[in-house]
Amino acid sequence: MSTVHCNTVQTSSGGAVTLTKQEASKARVNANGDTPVINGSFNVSSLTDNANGNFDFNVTNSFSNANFSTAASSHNSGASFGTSPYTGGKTTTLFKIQTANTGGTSADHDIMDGIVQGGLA
Amino acid sequence: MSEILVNKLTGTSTAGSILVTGEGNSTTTNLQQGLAKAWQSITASGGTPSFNDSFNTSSITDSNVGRHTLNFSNSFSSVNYAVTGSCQTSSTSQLSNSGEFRVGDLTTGTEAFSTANEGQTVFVDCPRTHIYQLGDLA
Repeated sequence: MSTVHCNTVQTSSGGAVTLTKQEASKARVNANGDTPVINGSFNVSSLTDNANGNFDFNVTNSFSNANFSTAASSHNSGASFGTSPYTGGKTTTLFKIQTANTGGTSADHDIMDGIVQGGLA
Repeated sequence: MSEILVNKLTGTSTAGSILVTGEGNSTTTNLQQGLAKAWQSITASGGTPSFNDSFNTSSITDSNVGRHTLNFSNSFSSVNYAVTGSCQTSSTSQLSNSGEFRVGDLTTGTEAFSTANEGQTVFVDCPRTHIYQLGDLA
């Protein structure tokens, strides 16, 4: 098996390489909305607690535009069932996760995960 | 276009860390950090969950209706990996109702999750559930 040892991969002209039929995610986060605190992350510098169940996750390296994709899931230990988080309102420097209880009222969830795909600036 | 044909990439400074230049040709992003480390396409109708397809997942345990546990082939280094999922409750049709996916208890080698109906009144087995996990492997 051939192996290439290197630290950085780029095109011969210094740009982004193409991964055949694949694309890596550009940010991810595992956070607790109750505390709130970031437990684990990639390309996330901090979170902003805007209101109950309303968080901004600020990225270290910005996106090229706000058309990136965010997928999110959450868990509220105080509730039996899950609710799908809302992820709208993003900008090139942050993605949002908003969580609510079963009745639709905004609420902090103790597990809040997000994964982001898109192009970096 | 130049092209490298190779079976394995390894970092020289740190074996499990390689940077790739981003789309804007300026910043770099860590390749390993951005890769999904596990994913699953699951059918759970009829009371028995099974994989349509999966990656880095050895099996799925049926705890109860709408409640299941995934077992990873290669474990994560901590329980702080990120999980997202979605489900359809009645069929795989485009017109099927969406369900509510909930992340459950996480360990480094397993992930529990539950699926409920859209009105969040009862757990249901979903004919199609999609989940993926990103984080650091052990």
